[in-house]
Amino acid sequence: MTFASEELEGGITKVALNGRMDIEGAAAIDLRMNVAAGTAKKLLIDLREVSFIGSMGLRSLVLPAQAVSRRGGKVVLLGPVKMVEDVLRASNIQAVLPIHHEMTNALAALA
Amino acid sequence: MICQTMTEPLTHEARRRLSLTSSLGELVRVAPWVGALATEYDISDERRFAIELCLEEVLSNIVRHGYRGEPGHAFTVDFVRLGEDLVFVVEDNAQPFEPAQPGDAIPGDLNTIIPGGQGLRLLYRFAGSVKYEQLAQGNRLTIRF
Repeated sequence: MTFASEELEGGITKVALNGRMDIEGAAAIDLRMNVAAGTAKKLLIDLREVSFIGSMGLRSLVLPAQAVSRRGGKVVLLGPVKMVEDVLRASNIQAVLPIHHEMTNALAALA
Repeated sequence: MICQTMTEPLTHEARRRLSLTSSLGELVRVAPWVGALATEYDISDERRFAIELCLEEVLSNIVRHGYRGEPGHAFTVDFVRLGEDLVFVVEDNAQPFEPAQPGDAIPGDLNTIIPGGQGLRLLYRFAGSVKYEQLAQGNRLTIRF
């Protein structure tokens, strides 16, 4: 599981995740996700290269999102593949973390 | 239902068995094992995803809750293909634990979410069927896809 962060225009922090968000993958990114969430006000989590997610992976999304939200910020998810999105929706994640499949829409949601 | 002995009904038919010990680190062996089955039995990507997801949730529950994080306890996953059904039988010697009720879905307010607790919901959503049996010493969970 790899993690890359990038600062975009408009004060948006983009975090790109790549790999499997299983128990091992979630543990590998948790610290960096929390660090990113510790300063971001607008967080875009790019899931396009995530091939798997389980409940521990969900936790790795929810905890940083809560940190951003507590400071009045926003978090959106970008581009999960079908099965990953099925897991997100089975847990009702989309009710609290909007899912977008186009970058322009994701950026607009954070504006 | 409480079985009197820890029988292994699929032993004679089982095509594959994965033996694990109770640490989360052991679970990295599950996805490659399922991957090998997917190749051998021509399992679709979607079904493979569901199998890996359900096994991760069930097996991590055994390690964290059944064995309370204590290392060194053994448990097994048997696979058999019965017609079109892909059947996985998980057996442990842990305290009784029936994964009967899916947890609540995440509520609509981000700040009220208690992270975790989605594993059983995912299991019941992605498995075709789930059958629990309490053994004389331990648990058996039969998951069909």
